[in-house]
Amino acid sequence: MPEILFDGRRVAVEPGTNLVEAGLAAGVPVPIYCYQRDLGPAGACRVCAVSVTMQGKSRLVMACMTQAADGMEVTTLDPRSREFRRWVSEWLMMNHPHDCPVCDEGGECQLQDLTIATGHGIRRIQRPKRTFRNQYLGEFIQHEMNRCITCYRCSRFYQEYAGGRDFGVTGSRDRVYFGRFADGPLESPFSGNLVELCPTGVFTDKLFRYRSRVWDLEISHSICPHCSVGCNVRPGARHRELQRVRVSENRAVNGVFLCDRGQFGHGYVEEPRRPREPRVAGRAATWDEALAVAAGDLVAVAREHGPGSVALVASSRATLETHAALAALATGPLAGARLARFDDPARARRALAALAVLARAGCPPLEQREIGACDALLVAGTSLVDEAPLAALAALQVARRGGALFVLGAGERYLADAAKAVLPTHPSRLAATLGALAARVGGEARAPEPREPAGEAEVLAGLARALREARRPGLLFGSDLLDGPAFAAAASLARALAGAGATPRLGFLFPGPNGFGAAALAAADAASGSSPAGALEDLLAGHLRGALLVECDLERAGTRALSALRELDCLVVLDYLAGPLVDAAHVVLPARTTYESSGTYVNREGRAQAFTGALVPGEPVRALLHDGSFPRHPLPAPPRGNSWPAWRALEELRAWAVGGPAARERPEILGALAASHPFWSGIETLTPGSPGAVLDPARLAVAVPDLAAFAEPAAGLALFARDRTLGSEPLSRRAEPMRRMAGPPLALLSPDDATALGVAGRVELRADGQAVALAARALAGVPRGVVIVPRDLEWPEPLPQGAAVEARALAEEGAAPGPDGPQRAATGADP
Amino acid sequence: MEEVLLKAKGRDGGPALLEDYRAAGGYAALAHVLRERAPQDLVEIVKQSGLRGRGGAGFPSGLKWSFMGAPEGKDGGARYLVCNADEMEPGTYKDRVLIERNPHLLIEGMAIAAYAMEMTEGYVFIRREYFEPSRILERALGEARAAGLLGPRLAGSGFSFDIHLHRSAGRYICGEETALLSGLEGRRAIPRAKPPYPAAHGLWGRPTTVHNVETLACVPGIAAHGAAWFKGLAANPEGAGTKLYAGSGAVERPHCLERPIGTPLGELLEEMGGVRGGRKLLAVMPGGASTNFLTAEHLDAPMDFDPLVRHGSRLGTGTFIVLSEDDCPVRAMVNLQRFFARESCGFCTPCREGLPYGVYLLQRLERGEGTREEIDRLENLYLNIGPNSFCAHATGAAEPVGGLLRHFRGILEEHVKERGCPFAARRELAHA
Repeated sequence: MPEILFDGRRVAVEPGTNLVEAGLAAGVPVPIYCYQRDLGPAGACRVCAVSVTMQGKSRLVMACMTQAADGMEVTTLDPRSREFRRWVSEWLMMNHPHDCPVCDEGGECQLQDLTIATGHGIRRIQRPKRTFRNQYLGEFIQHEMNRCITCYRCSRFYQEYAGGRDFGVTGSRDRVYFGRFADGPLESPFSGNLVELCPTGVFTDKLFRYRSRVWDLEISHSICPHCSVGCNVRPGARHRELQRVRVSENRAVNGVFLCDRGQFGHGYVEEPRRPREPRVAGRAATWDEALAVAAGDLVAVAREHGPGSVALVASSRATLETHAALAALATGPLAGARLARFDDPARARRALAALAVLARAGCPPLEQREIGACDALLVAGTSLVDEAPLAALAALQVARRGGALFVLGAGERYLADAAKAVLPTHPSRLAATLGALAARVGGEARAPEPREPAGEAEVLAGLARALREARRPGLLFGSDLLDGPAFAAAASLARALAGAGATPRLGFLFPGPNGFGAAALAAADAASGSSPAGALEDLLAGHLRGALLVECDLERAGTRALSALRELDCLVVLDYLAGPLVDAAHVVLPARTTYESSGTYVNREGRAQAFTGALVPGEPVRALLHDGSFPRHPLPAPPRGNSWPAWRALEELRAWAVGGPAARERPEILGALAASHPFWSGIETLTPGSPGAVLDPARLAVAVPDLAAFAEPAAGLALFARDRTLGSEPLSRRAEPMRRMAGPPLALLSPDDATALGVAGRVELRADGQAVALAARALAGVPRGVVIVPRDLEWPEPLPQGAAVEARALAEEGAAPGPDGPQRAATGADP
Repeated sequence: MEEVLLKAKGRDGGPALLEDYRAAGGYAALAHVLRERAPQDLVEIVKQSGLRGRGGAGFPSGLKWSFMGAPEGKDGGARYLVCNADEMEPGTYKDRVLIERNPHLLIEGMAIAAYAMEMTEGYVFIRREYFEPSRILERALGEARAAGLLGPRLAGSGFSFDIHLHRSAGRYICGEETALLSGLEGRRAIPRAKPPYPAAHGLWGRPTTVHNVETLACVPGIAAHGAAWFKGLAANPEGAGTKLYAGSGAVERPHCLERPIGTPLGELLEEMGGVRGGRKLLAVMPGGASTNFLTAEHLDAPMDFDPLVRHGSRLGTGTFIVLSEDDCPVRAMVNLQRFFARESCGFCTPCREGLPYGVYLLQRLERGEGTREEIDRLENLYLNIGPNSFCAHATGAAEPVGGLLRHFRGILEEHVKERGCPFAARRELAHA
């Protein structure tokens, strides 16, 4: 390992380490603009100039472009490098506007910091500054090109790292321009990273525009609740508003990047209809009143009809604490109440099926940070960018680094160009395809089966070879497009690889930020006799008499289920989202969002991560303003600031319903969980902002749930619902401007089917006597015989995955949606 | 003197067509080489010939050829020869003259070089504004192809090679070899970090050598007559070959001529009729805008690579710009620096922002608005730009400013003291 002297500090670094990283290792932050660890050195900004002395010769070098060599003496303190860096600042400030007082970057501006740090203070030239015309880049990002210092971070990230094509560099000399060919929303679902990457204020968060100075924000370590990747975020709040969400660097998980859903999907927190006060029978109440009524009613139902007639339901967006408190409620008079860990029976089964595979496979988990390091990666049964955007960004890096990326997908757009091969795979055939692949890995070439598409055998042969020969093979599966046989085939593929000496890292996607955690709890519930989805199914079918729904999204459960819920003897809802069940509930208990509370989520890789809240909720100050000015004196307590973290409310409810003291601190509740099973040991010790702990599913006994196979319908198309990148999951669906950027729901068809049906603009889907009309588009990569719709598409009664539907082309209405690319629609001009 | 590069003559002052070129002995070297020489021998001959790159840097060509010998690059895939005809250096027009008069010499030189370096395809990257040379070269390429001198199994040998003409979109930076390669690939013409060098990772990631037009035009002669003959052509003992020299600015008859390399500056000036109007010589930029000033005391200096370095300048392209006693060097420098600032690709900060800063200071000084502090700042500015930018563009821009400050600091100070250009009065008199 080369040993160098950096500003007098001796440090040994890995061979190949550049001097910026070596400086950090020595505790010397070398100034940087264009360099960013994940993008690598560019050599454009020149601010990282340092003096290097080697064998008696001294010269100025760019730290990012220079690798540490044994015996180097590096310094940032000599007059020559200081003079040069001061010049760099003076050059960059020649054209940079002095609009810092109204710039949203002010206070966290790298240019501001380094201009001061490098010692440039006085403008020595008098000439007009360069100006540019800004572009409308959509509803998320504000463009302010006059501030640009031409570091190329944005274009390098957008094009090279994230594979975007609609944004880049034009122009030359001192008129280099970063933008699009023409005004329009940025198409990449990772556009929000430009805000964080830009060392100054060219790209700022439109949602945060002019709302606060950053130093006034209350900030915490939190976890993004919009999918199961578990990215670390930094919510920033002020005036009782969640004003923005930014990525929080965590090298063990998401690194420094975040997707647009996570960054801009937080509008649900300030939704005006959000329940903020306890309510009983439609009237505002105190917590004590509401808890007393809820406890009394639930216990009364249990006494009258038996505890088995009461369902206690939480979902995969509820924290571990909430789930633990919910289970603790099922004692005393409520002992025997039926627990449900998911708010969707089918997704519950799939989550358990995935967990069962992980528990038995004996493979290490495919952690988020390991995805990009794979030299061969198979992504199967998902459109990754839609279901777990940041996992897709990591998967793209496999291809960028020259690894072999393969996709067995249904409408995968994002990875299609970079992948070595994409096999559009009908979900009903995924098991067969995976089985054939497993056989090939084992050295056996199966005779092609009758339904096998031409060319599949060659792709599978290449894929089998790539996986077997890889030093770091990885398998990443979705879950919503997998049937029972596909989960079994995924397990046998992992086993076959292990048998061939190439044990893969194995991962699945889970529903929701705590899907893995909820599945692990459901597995334990199942061990004590309750089926993972039985309670919920009985509840939705109208077989039960009372229910407590905690953070459940049952809006799309169908009219029959909703009326069954409305007719319960007792319906208690504990949530922060408004909806038909909040309106129908006998008792409403207002909960806090992720950003307003502390808790623990287990992400899709099994990593438990703790988080804390950034704000105490309450009516946002702006809603209380009469004369437009903010109050000078804080009020003693936030008005309508009456919500509690869900677990806290459940503990209080337990005290009312069952008796005994309510836990008031998180560790109390997690301690009980940790003691319940070795799988959970240490769960109460996690601290927010740390790498967390990866839980080992092999410690769990997970019964394989009963999960039917998808069948290819004899007539019509097989319908599959999945997330789309923006705005289809319950949280970001309620967020403005996410909804506008997401555009209307879209049905995706294979080009063959679209042609055969004559679909140009819109399509009508019919099944079971119901019909839905929506915009449609042909997309290469969608297998024949399949129609893919967003998960939030509303049917009067929900249809199971793989249901047969009839599709009929409708006459085009208005403009057709654009060509391939994220489903974003232009929504207006730059004001 | 016997002309080598401009030997073949066309009719009526037009380009030498294939038959004219053949009449002057053209393509004999190619046939000879394909028949008689192993590629490796040719590399050795060029090494011994002392040929140095004529594009400005003077890098030994034989050494450059030997970089292509790495076995890992010989995997049966494509290997490229790229001819840099993006002649955009201010005051430089020698490659244009060569292509306009003797295009087949370039084609033959490329074919021989490609044979020696075992290349599969050639590109000529030509300056956008060279409309006529492009037409001439395109025609000559067609002639050569029709005659079997380019294309599959050329001249009946087992060697196949063809040349494509690519017209630049028109930026000075395209003359920088890695920016040229980026431009040729259809990307933004921005220099690449070196290493990897083009010989290992060039055009589309394949082994590539980039040569100036004139360098390649020297190759047929060396191949035909040998290294010793080529060395013997030079006027000074350390040189090799002939050189296309050209003058511009304050000379009586600016034109391009071929002379032994190392011919003294004074002699070349003399042949062009001396300084215009019989004025006294103030300064000469010997090889284009990015070379340092020579003055009247350097008239005996041999115009060759090493001697000019000893005089604190560079041969560059060998096409010199002359300033007379009536020409304000500060004004000339404003003009040059505006060019360099305009032609920056915009990639690195010192070049993109520092060069316009220099223009600003020079304009103030030239107009008599400057201060002594600004003269010092000008010096400090370019000392910081020069060695610290990403490619050689800004380094080249800084060189003549260094010369201005070394040779003509007095004139700069006069501008400050007199609050105006001391040459302005003289210019007015001259035009009165």
